[in-house]
Amino acid sequence: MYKIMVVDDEPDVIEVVTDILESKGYDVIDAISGDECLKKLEKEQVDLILMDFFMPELDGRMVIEKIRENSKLRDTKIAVLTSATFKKRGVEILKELNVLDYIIKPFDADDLVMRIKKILE
Amino acid sequence: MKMPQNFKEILAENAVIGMVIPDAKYGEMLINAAGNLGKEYNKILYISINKPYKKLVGKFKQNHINPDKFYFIDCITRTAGDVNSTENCIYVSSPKASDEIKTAIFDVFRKQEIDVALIDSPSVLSTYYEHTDVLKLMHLLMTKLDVAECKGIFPFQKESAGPLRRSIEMFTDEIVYLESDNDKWGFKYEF
Repeated sequence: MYKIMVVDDEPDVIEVVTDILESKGYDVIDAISGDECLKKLEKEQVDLILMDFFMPELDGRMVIEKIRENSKLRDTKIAVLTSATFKKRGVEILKELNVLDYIIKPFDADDLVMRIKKILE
Repeated sequence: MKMPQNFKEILAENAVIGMVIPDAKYGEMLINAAGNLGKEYNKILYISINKPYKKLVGKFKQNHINPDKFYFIDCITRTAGDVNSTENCIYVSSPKASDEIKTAIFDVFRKQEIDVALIDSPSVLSTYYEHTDVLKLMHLLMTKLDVAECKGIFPFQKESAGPLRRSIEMFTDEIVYLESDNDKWGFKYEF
C-alpha cells in the first residue's frame, strides 16, 4: 500500500484529501505545517508528498528545498497541491526542484486520484 | 542570451518580473527604473508601502520624471494624519490595512487603464505581515495584473530581502538583476 503525506495548513483540505485518498486504498498521513512535515519525515518514509504552497513560517518552496537538501529524503516524490498560480519562473523552479506535478485547488477528485496514480505507478 | 535594452523589451516577453537591486543603490535605482517606465508607458501604478506620495513626487521632479504618468497608492502618509485622496493618489490608512490595500488596487484597475504596476517594495510588507500573508497579497496582485493584462514589476533589495524574494519569485516570469555599473538602463541580466 502506498503511503502519502498531505501537507496543508488548512485542516479542511487535509480532511477532504485524506477522505478521497483513503477511499482509493492509500495510506495517508498529514502535516499541518512545513515544520511538522519535516519532523514526521525523520520518522516515517512516504511514497509521495502532496505539498501546499501558502503556509506560515515555511512555505511550500522552502519545505521542498529542505527535503531536497536532505540526503535521506531527497528522492522523495513530491507534487504541489495549491491554490497558488505560478508564473513562468515559478514553474521552472518547480521543475528544478523535481516536483512531479502541480495540481491547482479547487481540484476534481477523480483528476487528483488519476494524477497521483500516474506519479506512483 | 540577448541583453535586453529596456523595460519594454523585457516586459514584452514577461508579464511579471522580479527586479533585484543592490541595497546600497536601491532608492536611487528604483527612481531610475520608474523614470524609464515613464518613458515607455502611458499609465503606471506605483504602490508605495513606506514612501509618502509627496516625497516620491519630489524625487520624481528632481529626476525630471513626469508624475502625471503615474497613479499612486500611498500606504504610509495617513499613518501620520488624515489626508484626502487626490486625482492621482489613493491614501491607504496604514501598510497594515491589507483589505484597504486590496480595495485600492481593485479601484485603480476599475477606473484606470494601467499599463504597468510597480510595488515598492514587497519585502517591506514583511515588517507588517506574516510571510504567508505577504505571499497571498502578492499573489492577489499578480492575479489582478493577469486579469487586467497589465505588466508588473516586483523590486527587491538584493542583500536584505531575504527568503521572501525567493518565494515571491514563484509569481514572476523572470528575474532581472540590476547593477549600477552597467549600461544606461542599469541592467545586468543573470540566470
